[in-house]
Amino acid sequence: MENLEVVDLYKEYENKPLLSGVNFRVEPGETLCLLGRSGSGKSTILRIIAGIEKPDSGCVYWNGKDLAEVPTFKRNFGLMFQDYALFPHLTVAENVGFGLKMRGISKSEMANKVREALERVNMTGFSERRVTDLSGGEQQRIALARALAPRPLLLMLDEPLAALDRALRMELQEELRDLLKQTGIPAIYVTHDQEEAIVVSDRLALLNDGRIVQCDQTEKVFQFPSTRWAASFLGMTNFISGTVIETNPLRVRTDCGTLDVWNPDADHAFSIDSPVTLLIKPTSAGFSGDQTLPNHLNGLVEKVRFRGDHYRLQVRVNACIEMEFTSTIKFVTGQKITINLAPQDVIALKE
Amino acid sequence: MDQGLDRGDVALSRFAVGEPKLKDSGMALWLFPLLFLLVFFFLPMASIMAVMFSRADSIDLGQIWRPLGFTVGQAVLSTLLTLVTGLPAAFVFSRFHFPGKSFMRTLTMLPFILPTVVTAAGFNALLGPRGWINLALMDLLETSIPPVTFLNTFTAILVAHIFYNIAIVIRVVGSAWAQLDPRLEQSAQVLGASPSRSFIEVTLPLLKRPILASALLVFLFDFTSFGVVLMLGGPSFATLEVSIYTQALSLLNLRMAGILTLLQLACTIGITIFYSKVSSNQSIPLFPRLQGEGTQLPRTWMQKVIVLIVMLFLFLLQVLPLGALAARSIARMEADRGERGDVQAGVTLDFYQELFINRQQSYFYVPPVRAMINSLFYAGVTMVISTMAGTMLAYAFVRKPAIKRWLDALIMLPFGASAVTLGLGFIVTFNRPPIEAGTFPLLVPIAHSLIAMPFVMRTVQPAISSIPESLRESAAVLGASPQKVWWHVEMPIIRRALIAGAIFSFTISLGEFGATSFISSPKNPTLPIAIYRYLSQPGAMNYGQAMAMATILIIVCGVSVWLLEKLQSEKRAGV
Repeated sequence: MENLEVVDLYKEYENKPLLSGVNFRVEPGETLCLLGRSGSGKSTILRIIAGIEKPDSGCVYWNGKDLAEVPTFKRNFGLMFQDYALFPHLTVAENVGFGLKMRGISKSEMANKVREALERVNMTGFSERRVTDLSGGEQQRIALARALAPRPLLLMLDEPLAALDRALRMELQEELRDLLKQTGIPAIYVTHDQEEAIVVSDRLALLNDGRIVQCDQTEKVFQFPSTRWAASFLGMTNFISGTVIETNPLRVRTDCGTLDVWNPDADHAFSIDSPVTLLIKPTSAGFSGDQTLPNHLNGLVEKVRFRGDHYRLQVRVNACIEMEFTSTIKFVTGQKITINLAPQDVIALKE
Repeated sequence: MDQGLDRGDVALSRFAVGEPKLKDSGMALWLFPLLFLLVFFFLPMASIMAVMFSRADSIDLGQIWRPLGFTVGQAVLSTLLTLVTGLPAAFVFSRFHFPGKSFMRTLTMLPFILPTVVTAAGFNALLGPRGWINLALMDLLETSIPPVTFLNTFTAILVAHIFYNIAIVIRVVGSAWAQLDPRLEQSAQVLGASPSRSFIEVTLPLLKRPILASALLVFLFDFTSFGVVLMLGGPSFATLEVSIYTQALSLLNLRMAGILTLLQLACTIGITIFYSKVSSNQSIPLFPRLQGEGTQLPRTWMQKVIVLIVMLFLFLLQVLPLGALAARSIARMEADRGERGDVQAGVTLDFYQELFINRQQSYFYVPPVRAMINSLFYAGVTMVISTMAGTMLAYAFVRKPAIKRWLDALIMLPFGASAVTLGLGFIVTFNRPPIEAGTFPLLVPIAHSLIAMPFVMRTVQPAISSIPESLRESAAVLGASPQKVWWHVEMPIIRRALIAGAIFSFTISLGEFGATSFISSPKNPTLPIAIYRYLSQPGAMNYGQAMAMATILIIVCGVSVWLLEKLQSEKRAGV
């Protein structure tokens, strides 16, 4: 089976470490999303895989073969740049056909493939247009068609939607997802936008400080962020520290009482009396007011902010810790509430 | 434009008579330069035509076709050679950074504003009969005949043209290349194009226009080359420009001179129109990028060799003649007149001291100090006239694009019409008091201003267009009167461009040779004219003084170029 493996990439940029040991794999047909803040080295990883840049150390393997000595143009990967880098002197059809031309494909076959590629991105009829006359969204589609036309072994997309406005971005991210699934080409998708990452990816790799903090099924990453950084990066900020008092099932004593912690796979090993940081998920908290259920918190509503389809509550829990929760019920400032946490909403973080 | 604003400007315009800032005084902005052009360019051109039809001088068709053929031939060859040597240099400058790069950039820019006489003197000092190489070889071979013949050969003309114009290719193509998004080539390579293939398929087509534009500009300069051909080519080579000069001043055949002038004018107008078409359509979206993003240190063995060879070539091409010249100006090499045998070779400042000593020996003798003072005065006046007129035009063009469409070509005409044509026009038109060539002191700077004005205009205009209207509007809303807006908002923004334009025009005037050779009076030459005269006279002292004066010009031009580069880099850094 065809796969890409990136092993221990190190790269310095202007004497500062940019990548400090990046490892991941891309399995056949899957879309892996690299999510991280700008400047975290996401694009550099793509450029190294494409062979445009060389890592200071580390390797890129395709089916187990080291690509270090394979020049960019022989790798047969696709890379879509953030600003598309369409060739301004060529027409739409010539742009899309460029990769095919480089592979010496006959003219008639090329015309067919270009037409197919344009159909796939819903841009039939644009073939003779100048790329400089296209709108941003149209350019994006042409860039995608150009990258897909030669049927690359792997497609890399570097913030492909970042240059577009929000409405168009929402529309195109769904399309992009469908297209990647249709073609079955494995893809690495780089973005700093969580929403985009959720829609597009099968697996998600969170990048921070030149390292991959967490890499897992997209759902799992959002359900169980593994570190404090990962949780905050994904917008979850309710942390509480405590001490392990029972390991199976995991129970932790905190300033807000004793909490049952979700740990079904028992993937972290905890020992009694060790300190631990817990994450309380802000979503899906219940407000039944039932104080007899386990895992409840008592708090005072300090701020209520309207967010369209829900309210965001700022709650002072046990008179000491600030936490945020989302709620569909409207509360008022100063109201005392009891928050019932579902079992999987209390998670122990790795340090 | 907003009606209300326009009216406001009218109401305020009485405070600002003649100040180039109000939309409705737009006419004054271009009327003055246009009148200037009518009187000092079109009138002289008309006079040339009148003279041509009224005189009964003999016409020799061979004297027309031969120089035309030679002019085209040498220009084509020079342009091709300049491209062949300039393109690798443009590549190296736009794609690599390396120690000494900015120094080399400045160095390549220097010849471009260097007076032709200085270039001629430089090659003379290096390869002429009294040049370093011949002196060394004569010493080595113990002969008294210079073994290397470089002066008065076709090669000399070609080499000097490359020396002169390589900067144009480097600048025009190099800056387009540096702006070219490196991602385009990377994209091509990801799509399967080898580096050479991606160069042919992507880079070259995108650089087609800048290459063509620079080639046309180089061709235009080579086509109208005067000083180089006159001083380095010698009597056996004559371009149209040189023929006009000899027909008018040596053979006194003004009819022939007129015909040649018109022929040359037709050619240069054609080239200029073609050039402005090519350069104005340069709207290829080259995605402006961060400065220097595409550059890298030369990494591979190949890259290092390329960078080294190109830089070595440029260094030798530019530094050897100029260095030879400077060295020659302080070297005592030959016996003084009347002495034979032992020469005390060594370093001397005699030639510089001699510049300040007045020796009234012959009628043609002019003290060099006089020439220096003349040159500085002319350059100063030129700077004032052309900076003012050029800036007014730039404002007019920005405010009223319709005017630009037809006036732009007119402004460029004196530039394309060549210096000798201008000079000839001046002497046939202004030949009686009060404006008489030879006595009217402003005629030389006026001619220089016509040549320098387009440069100033082109330098200042982008700065003016870069000022968004909202900036003026918000200043006005904040309570600034139009002249305060100009002084506190616009002036600081265009200041750098104005200074650059002023330096440019000053330097152009300082080195101008073609037109000046016609209109300056024998008693009041400029530095380049004096250098030319001293070079063509025998004697080590004259030769040395020519070298000394040329060295002074190099230093002045070097400082100018350094200042221009500094202004450029400040602009880039956004200071």
